[in-house]
Amino acid sequence: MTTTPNHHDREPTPDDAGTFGVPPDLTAIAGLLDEDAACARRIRPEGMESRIAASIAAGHGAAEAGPHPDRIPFPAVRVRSRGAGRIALRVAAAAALGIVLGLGWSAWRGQSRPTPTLLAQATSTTLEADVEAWLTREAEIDDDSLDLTLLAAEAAEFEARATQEWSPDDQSDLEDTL
Amino acid sequence: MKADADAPGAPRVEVRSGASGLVERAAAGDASAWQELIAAYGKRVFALAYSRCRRVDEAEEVTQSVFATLAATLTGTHAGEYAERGKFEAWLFRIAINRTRDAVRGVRRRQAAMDTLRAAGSGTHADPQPPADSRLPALRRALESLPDADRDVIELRHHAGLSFRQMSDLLDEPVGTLLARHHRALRKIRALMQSTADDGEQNP
Repeated sequence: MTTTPNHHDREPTPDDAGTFGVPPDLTAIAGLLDEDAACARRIRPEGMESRIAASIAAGHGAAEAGPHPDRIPFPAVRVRSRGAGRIALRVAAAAALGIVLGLGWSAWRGQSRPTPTLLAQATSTTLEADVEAWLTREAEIDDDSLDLTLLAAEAAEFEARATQEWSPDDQSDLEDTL
Repeated sequence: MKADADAPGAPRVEVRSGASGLVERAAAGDASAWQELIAAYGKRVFALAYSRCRRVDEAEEVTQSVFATLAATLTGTHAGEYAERGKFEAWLFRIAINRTRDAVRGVRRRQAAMDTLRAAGSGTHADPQPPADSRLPALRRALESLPDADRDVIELRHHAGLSFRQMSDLLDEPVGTLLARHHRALRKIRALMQSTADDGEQNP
């Protein structure tokens, strides 16, 4: 690999070792790009640097900086923000993992526990079965099979209790009322 | 301190070694340090912006905005926090490339209106000098056809004059990746220019 001439007005630095050149078949394109860059530098407006320096000296820097002057942090600050970023990423990752596990647990529980719909269906089925069984039993009852003896016993019991609870005062009150 | 990095044969190392003290002096409010900083980097920031915008006024505005941001940051909220770690240029040109992208978006929004003005003969922002090399117009068209990632590498390398290591710091990508991308981008440019030339021959 050969290297292009020093198109950037500088000597290769140790940082550039092995990286400064381009393949021979592309040197013409690289040279043309450098020529384009040189043209751009030449056509800069007259006095541009002076105007900018004057603007900064006048303290207009902040006003000219636009709405996001701090968007690009210093390299020094950036190191700290990277650390904070990593912590934020870890917290976010932990939160995401928690959400995923929670959703998985809910899904698993949802399959093993009766949902309200399933409960309603089961209850409905039970009631239907009970009613059906009752109707079936009622249908099987023969009028002749009614236990009249039991009914008679209940009537006698009621009459006896009423007699026992009756008092002369009750009789007197009844007469007064009448 | 060598202020003019654009001068032929100017040893760039001198500028880099002096950047630390220069930035610290500028951060302390030294007006002459600001002048030196602007003289040292202004042309390269302008060239980067101009390559993308192709408008002198927009490129100057971007350059102004970059240094204003620098001033606001160094002397504003974070004043006194600056610690030189040899990455000043990467930081500066990251600001520059972001500002340039913002400007390009603005230019595109106004493109229709500007076209109308140019058609009316009132456009005064075109390249004030004819290209020195007849191949430059084709080169610029090829540049505009490149994907942004390729174009970033080409313009940071050639127009901003950054080393691959500085570009690595700026773009957060390995040097090897950027070398390969630069290589591929050069090949794309050559192919695009060749294609344009072939079309010209077929349709003179």
